[in-house]
Amino acid sequence: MSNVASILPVFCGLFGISDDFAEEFQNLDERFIKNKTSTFFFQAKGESMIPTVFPGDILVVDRSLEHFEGKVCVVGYNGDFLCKRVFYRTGKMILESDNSRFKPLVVSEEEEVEVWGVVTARASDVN
Amino acid sequence: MGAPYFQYEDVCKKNNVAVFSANFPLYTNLSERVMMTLSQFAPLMEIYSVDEAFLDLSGLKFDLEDYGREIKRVVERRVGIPVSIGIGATKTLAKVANHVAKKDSQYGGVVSAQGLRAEGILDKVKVEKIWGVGKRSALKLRALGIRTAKQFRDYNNDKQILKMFTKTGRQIQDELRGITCHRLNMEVPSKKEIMSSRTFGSPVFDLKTLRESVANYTSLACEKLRKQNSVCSKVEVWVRTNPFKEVEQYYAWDAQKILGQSADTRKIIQYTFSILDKLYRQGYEYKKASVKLSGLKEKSETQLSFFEKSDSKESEVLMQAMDRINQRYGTGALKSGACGVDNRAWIMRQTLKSARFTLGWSELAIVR
Repeated sequence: MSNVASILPVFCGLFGISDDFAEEFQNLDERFIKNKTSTFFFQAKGESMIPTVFPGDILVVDRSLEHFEGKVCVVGYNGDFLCKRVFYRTGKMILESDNSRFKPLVVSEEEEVEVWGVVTARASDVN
Repeated sequence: MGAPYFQYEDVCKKNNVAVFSANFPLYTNLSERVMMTLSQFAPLMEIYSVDEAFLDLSGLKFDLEDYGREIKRVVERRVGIPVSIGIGATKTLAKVANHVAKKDSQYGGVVSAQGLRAEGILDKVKVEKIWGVGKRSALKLRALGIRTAKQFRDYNNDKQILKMFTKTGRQIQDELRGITCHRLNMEVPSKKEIMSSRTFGSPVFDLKTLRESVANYTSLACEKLRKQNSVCSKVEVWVRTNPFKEVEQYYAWDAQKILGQSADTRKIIQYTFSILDKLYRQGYEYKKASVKLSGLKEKSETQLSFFEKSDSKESEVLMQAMDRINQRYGTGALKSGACGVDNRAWIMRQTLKSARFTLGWSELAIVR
């Protein structure tokens, strides 16, 4: 008895599956970037948002999202960029750090603060 | 008023002036984002320049000024770039309205020159500020007593305007009257000539280095040429010394017609070299060189002519391969030997460039 399997020619494509089931390769852009024109990338430095964001992370920031309450955002603060969780309480903007070692920042009226965009995702190399 | 930075370096440092070198990739990226965002607001759009566009709002049923405010709000929200908006029945009226929107903050950046609102708007705009009216025409108009856009619109001697300013002038007048003469131009016009030029980071004295820089500019120009599927038949080269420096000045230019037409970097470099060899004079401190390719024709046109020389099939295949590699691995990954390997002698100094925040991954903005 021969143990050699005979290979039958396949005429209808890979494993006989038709083109109907072919789909695009998965790609990260399509998963994490909802709005190309309003999506910008930043790099995180500092430990204030551990364990949500780690130093060195690439942050995917979307300017088109308008609900900031409770969300991690990039905030323009006196000419600098900060990554903080934004809250509004008693008419004031509070910038909280997820890292319990850091105190919340209460924004006073004179300071130039603007929510630049919402952080929707973070990416980093593992090894 | 503009001046070279080095003349005002001390003033800037003393007064804490933030200085930035030009960062064209950043500006281009932001411009693309603005244009893509705008395109969602109308079925037809013309990108007029890096920072201007026309949207065709005809047929939209709602209040256009409100719509304009929404457009402005969305662009600023999404891209972070403030825009001003002018609305009118014609391109010229829209540009006039836009001019007022930019200059007069009481309008909040959005101005409509439609219907009755046009009267007040056109009255505010001086004649030289109208799109298409230059300084000389403005002087001639003022001699007729026409000082504002409104007065130009209402001037009722059309024959005289036609005589003094030709059809172009009459078209401006008609557009001010709400008669469309210029429709939206949707085609991306391919360039009629392609120029490539840079100022040298440090002055260049010898022919060999000059040739290297010119070879690089020629390569860039030829890449653009092939990208728009054109061939060229004329090559021009300029060299000059630094006009702001106290050195002996030299400025020279020459052109050469190519035998037939070409888009082959190697062939065209040979032409630019032969021009450069004629222009070069020893003893001068060269500060800038420019290359221009003109007499452009679409590539497909030229293949029909048996009498003029075109690039061989091999040349086309080689150029195609080179362009693909450079697209994949970055500009200059593969170049003609004439371009040299270490171009430090003349690479443009952009020491004060802002980071390329929106390109690549090594120059991202930092958040704390």
